[in-house]
Amino acid sequence: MLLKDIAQLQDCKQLTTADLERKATGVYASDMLSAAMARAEPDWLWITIQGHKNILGVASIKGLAGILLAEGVQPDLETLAVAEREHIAIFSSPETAFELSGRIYKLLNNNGD
Amino acid sequence: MENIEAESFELPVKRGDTGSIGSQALAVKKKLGGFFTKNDDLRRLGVCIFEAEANLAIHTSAGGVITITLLHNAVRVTARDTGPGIADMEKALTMGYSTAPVWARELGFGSGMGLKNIRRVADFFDIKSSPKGTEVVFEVRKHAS
Amino acid sequence: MHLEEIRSIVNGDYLYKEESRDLNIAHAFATDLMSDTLFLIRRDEELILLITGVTNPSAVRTAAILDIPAILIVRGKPVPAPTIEEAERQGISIIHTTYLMFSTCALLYNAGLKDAPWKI
Repeated sequence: MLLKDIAQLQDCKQLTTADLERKATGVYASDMLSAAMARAEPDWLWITIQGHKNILGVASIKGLAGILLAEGVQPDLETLAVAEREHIAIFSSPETAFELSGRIYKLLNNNGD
Repeated sequence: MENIEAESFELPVKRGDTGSIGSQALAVKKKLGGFFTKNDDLRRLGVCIFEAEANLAIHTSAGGVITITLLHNAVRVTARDTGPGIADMEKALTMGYSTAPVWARELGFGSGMGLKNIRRVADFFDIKSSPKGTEVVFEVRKHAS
Repeated sequence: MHLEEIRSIVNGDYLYKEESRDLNIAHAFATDLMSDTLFLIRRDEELILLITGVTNPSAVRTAAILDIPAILIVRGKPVPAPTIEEAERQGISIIHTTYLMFSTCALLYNAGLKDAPWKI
């Protein structure tokens, strides 16, 4: 699955510059930073409703492909500016994590990833 | 806890007692089940007290007290503490803004929605804060079935 | 979808109240932040399942406040005794799975379990 597929999800907004051809090889869903830090793998997409600055550190350290914020959460401008500088791809969708997981699972399987 | 005919009763919340968050809200919900005819009103009350409890446990220096008062057509709740107060009220009332410490976030709190939830869900909401302490007042009113 | 079917899809175990296996669950909501559940809208008293990685008793209380009858705890962390005791007090079922949040949601969603209605 490519980040392009995430960007194209219905009502999904791309909040930072991103390489849409980048591959996301898996997905991790959690709102607890420690859980993501422990279990998310490099090049995975992280689904969460946490929009504060600390998520950027996790994304950088783990080498995640990007962050998909659920429930319409959007980080503040300062966080987005840092994300741009650090080249972290952030998307926001109005859907819940449950719904997004369901839809993205289909995408992952359809692409045979 | 006193019987339901009492006009008001107080519930203490200890600082740092995250293990108990929600217990006062549930106790009130059970106690006042007969006060409201609509389940939705009772749930709203439970939600607001839950948030107030979480704030007292996580954000105060010494915990606080929640006072429940039964009015004719509503339940009024006051949550009071002795500090440290809310530094930036506007931010505190902004969705997703949280000053919760890491230990709270790891337990499932600190989403930055507590006060916003109360304001959104209650029929009346007011908040005052200074370094000496914060007072949150809200009301959940009976709605016709 | 019956609670038992949900349990089976995620290869879970009942930590409490297996007698609730026939509960008919209409919707699911997944979050690790308790305040987040408080945006749920309850329509027609349909039953909602709370899916979370939180293992402390507050998760049970959050469910109790919203009259949610069952919680599915994901990620396989051990669930402490106070949480199970709280579940017993509140009469709320707990299913525990080692599956992660994403897989759990994905499998249940694709098995037909609906998203819970909520709004900001």
